[in-house]
Amino acid sequence: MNGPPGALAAPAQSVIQVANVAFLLYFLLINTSYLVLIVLATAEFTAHLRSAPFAAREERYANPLTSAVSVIMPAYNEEATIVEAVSAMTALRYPQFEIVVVDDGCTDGTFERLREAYHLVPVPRVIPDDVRVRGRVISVHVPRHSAAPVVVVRKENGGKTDSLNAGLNIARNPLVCMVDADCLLDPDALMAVSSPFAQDPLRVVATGGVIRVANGCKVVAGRVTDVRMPRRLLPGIQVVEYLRAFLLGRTGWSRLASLVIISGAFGLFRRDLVVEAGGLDPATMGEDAELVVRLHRRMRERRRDYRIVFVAEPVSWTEVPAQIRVLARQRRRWHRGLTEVLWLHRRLVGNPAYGRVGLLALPYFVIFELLAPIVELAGIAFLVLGLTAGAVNLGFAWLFLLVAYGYGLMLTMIALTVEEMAFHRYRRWSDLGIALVASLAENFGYRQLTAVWRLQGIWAAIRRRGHDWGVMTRQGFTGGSGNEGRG
Amino acid sequence: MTAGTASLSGVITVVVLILAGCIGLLGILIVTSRVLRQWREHRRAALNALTRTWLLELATGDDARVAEARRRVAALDQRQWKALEPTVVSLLAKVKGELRSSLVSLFDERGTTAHARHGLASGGRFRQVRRARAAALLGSLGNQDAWAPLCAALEDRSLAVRIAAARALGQVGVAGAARPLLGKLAGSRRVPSDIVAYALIQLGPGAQGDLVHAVSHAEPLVRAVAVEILGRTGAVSAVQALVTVLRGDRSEEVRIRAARAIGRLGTPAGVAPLLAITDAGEPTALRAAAAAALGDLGAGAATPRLERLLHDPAYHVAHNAASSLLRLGPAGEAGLTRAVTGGEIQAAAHAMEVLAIASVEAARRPRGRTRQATRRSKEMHR
Repeated sequence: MNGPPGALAAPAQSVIQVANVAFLLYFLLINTSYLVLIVLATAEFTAHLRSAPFAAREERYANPLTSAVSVIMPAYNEEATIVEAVSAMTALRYPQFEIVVVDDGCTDGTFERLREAYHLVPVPRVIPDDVRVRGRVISVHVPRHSAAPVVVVRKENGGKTDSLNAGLNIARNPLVCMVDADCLLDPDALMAVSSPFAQDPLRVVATGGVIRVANGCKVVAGRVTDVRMPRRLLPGIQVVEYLRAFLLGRTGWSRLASLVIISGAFGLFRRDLVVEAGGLDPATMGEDAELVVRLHRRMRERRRDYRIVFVAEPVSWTEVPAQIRVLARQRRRWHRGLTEVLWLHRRLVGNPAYGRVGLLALPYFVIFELLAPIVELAGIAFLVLGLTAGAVNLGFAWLFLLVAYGYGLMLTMIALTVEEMAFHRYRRWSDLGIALVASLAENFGYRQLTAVWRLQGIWAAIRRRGHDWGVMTRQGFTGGSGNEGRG
Repeated sequence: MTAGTASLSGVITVVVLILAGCIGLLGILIVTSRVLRQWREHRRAALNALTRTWLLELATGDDARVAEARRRVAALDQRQWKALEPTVVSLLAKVKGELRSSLVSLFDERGTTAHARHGLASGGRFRQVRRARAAALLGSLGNQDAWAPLCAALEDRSLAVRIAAARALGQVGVAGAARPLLGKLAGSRRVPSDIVAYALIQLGPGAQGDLVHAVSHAEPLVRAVAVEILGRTGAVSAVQALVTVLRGDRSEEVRIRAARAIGRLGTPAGVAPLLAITDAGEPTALRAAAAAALGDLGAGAATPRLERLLHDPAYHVAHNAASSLLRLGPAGEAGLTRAVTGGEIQAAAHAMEVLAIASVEAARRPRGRTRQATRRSKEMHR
């Protein structure tokens, strides 16, 4: 392992050698933990795919246990896409639902576009104060002519979380689905994501749907009609990353009854329990994960039998950043959110009173998610230091990197295999080629850069700087100029 | 290099070789899987193209053509029949009468029904898909002789088999399946509630006795599902059982469902118990459900209480009371108008809201039906 002697004192060399072996072990452990989650997810998919043909989705439409849903869509300066997004939502296949669009003090023509499209008229709605809202509700509107189940709420600007809380107050149905205004749902998405509630109505309190990447896909009338891999490398890498981390990782956690993250872009919750928990926390950047952890916490503390479930298909499609600076902002925000959530609920970490969430999921998130960028960057730094100081030889360094990143590549390949066998959404051979290239390219620069951004996210959380939702520059699904909304 | 570090490098080399091998194998697996799937899809499409015309004639042709198409389908070789079978099964759900009987007998003639019954009895972990397919087919055929083996299949260790068996029991429609189906909502080998609920609804009035019995089951989920179905299937004779649940069930969720069920049944016997539940001492969610149920039930006698509930400090109770008043017709609307002009802000706000929304909804309907809404709107603005 040691290189040319004499560059550093023996004790220092020993420290560097031990550190390098420790980092190697950390990489092995983190990748093995991903492997375990993928194996669990594969078992879940196998069971699901076996029973799905016999479960008859079409019968759910007439099923008495299918509960009504309120879809909450917070919108901020989405004038370019809002009408298409709402129209696509109204076309979802579901027996009883309403769409609550929350105009969070938009400064563009978002509301005007909706008013023109749906001939909105104001109604004197009495709004309960079930959940505290910062931005005052100005008016509530419904369509004058069409029976489209749309309610548009205009409120003073208060941020995305505040909009969701306002939507919660307005929502009239027992289940609330939180979606981003720029997300595209599969026609059966609501039916699928609500299915666990119908299957186990007294225990299921929340479900999360999978998020997939819409970049490169063909979109017609707010629907993904042709699934394709993005032609650019950066979104392409995010496709394989989403497959591995979101689809397989979260399914694995769900199988372990320890799902602690439901994406704010597509989650379904029991309204009464979210209200009872006080709604979403506007002080936290990772408000979606924070809500789920808080639900776990409350249900455990009240000794209630409950389940939080992840649904792998159908999906919500979202546009991922195609530019480095936008991606950097997104990843800083995500990691800052994770840091804040783990700090806020630190009492749960390692606490047996909170079951698997306390003993397994949250400690895992601390060690293998929160600290991962620190260890990854420190590992690279120590490797370079070891090489320059002669504490490790070049052979060990190559093997180290191959084990750390080669294992990661293998996991991505397993994820692609599972996707191919279980869902086979990407049907072109060229898509497969791009996915393979993206899986390889992810290890050269992308992972290291995201580690740096995540580290900056931790630092921002420590410094407790004011929240900045950032601006997500979108290319749009149907071409044309990019539009900017809250990312 | 020391012996220790040399052996470490050796171990890592082996690991890297294993990883490279695994990555290569996974690549081959992806490609093979894709090629096989595309080949299967292509073959199925080709076979379906061959037989689609016969199937169309079978479903829509005149007697002579149907007979000819049926003869051809009956004469298909096993490979072609396997490809066509799912389409014929889906056709079974869409046709009735003679044609359905003819299709069912086609399965009997080809020996598919007997094969399915044999398949349902096949044991072993690796035959679970065969058992599930067999159960699903027997259900689609409405094979009443199979109800006992299907009940037994509810105990299968495979969830897929249990789901298929539960659905099949609903399709077969033998009321005696109600009790075993309800039993699958509890215990270790459960069936998802929505599947059981749908199957129980399909069993029809014959299952009501078991459903009434189930409202006192120890498991809250069994009670909740039974209550829900009794309400949805118009089981008027079960009102007293539902009232007992409403008054004293241990689970608030079950009581809420009982309130909704009583509302849906719409019998006068439900009015007094629902009114009693709107009292301030009960949980808010239950009171809100009872206020809504009084509107579903259409109980004019509830108007004074609902008017009082407009002043309730709990938002959802007051709001549901307003919505219910609107559904009670002229007496309820008069109550809402009184609230609008009554001077109490909260009650007036709830009343104004439901009247305004009703006015918008009425405006969407054909002209003749809008007069009443326009009158209501004018009253509100006055």
